[in-house]
Amino acid sequence: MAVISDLSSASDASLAMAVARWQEEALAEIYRRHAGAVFGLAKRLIFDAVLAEEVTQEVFVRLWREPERYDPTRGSLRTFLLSVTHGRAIDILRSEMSRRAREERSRAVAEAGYDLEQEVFDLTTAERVREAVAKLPGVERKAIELAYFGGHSYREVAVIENEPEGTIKSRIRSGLRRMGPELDAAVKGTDR
Amino acid sequence: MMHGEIEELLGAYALHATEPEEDREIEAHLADCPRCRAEVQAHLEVAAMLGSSASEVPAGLWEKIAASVGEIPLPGAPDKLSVVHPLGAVPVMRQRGSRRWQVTVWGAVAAVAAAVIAVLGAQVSHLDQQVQTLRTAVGQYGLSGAAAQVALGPHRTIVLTADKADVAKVVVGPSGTAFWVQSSLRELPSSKTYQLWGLARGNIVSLGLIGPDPRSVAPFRIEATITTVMVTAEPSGGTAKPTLPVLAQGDVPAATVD
Repeated sequence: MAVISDLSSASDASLAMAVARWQEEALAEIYRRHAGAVFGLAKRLIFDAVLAEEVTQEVFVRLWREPERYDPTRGSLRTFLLSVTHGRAIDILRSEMSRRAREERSRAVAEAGYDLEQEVFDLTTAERVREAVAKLPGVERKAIELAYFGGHSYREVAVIENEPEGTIKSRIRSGLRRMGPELDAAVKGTDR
Repeated sequence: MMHGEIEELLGAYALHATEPEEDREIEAHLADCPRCRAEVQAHLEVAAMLGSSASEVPAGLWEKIAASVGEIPLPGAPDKLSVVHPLGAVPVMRQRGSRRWQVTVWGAVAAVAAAVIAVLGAQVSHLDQQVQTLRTAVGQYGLSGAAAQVALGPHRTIVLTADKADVAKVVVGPSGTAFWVQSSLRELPSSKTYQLWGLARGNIVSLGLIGPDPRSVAPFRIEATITTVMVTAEPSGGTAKPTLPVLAQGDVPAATVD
């Protein structure tokens, strides 16, 4: 089989195609580039390093087994991996098994004065993301924060915020759309 | 749901904050609505930025992943260093200390596999004897033997490559009957199929479905107008248009004896 001679300079898209052709080295390079972000997001969501490790393992094994799920024409590999990670972590967060952990998380969040801005750590993009988040209206920030980092469905957010579901849907969508242009430059700067 | 209702949910959908029944409706809609697909992708990019963090990965995690990957039983998956196995060969994935895989060929099947290799090598110094051997093989082993027979006469060999390396070979007889004789493609889940495509005068046409197992392929036809052959992985029923990425492709050579 073909082997990408210089893995470190290969694009994410070509590495993903190499994974589809069964090159373990390509998977290893993808892991080297993105495992920190995958594990970091899982840990931030689940609050449990062991479960976060399991999620990370699942994400990469799934990429190996079902590489066709990633479509390079639609977006970056990092975005895809983090979306899969978020979905899996949310599943765990919402599961019966983790109810207790979720309650502990809610308590910890409450005690720490949970803030979306404090959740953004990426060293390469943190400043731009913080700026974009800071510009959001407070109600939009809160809705996104509860959904993305809190693992709540928009219906749950509506109950928490005591607002109609339609309002919460709009706030989440509007907030994400507002941040898009702000983050565009940062996205382009970090994707390969 | 109406289009407007689905649009309102796209942000929550990108954050995994919708209900499963809503997800199904949204996903069905996304399949037909490029504008909404683009919006979801934009939301996903923003979410990924929010979720990005530079966290140190636990030591030993890659080793666990590599071990899991090595344990996935996917016959047909090649060793990185092996180029092709003949049709009919049954590769067996075995883990070694280095987590690389070794391909072995099983028992009786190896006999016809070896015959096909010999024929494709075009070393026909004992043609009559080989023909007799292969005719016996056809009776015993069907497709592999038939492919070998085609290879004995006037034929063309299409080499499908990816990144300049051989991935599969197709032997085409004078009448256009084609046999997929070698492949290093891995076996797909049963919900998927490999699909062959031909490029004819600028148009892409489906040449047929291979199925999920690239080691067992029925003969198919390659018309004279086809200049390039490609293979993609598609849902089990196949598709009208190929889905990227093209896993391998090769030009159809001029009709000369290999």
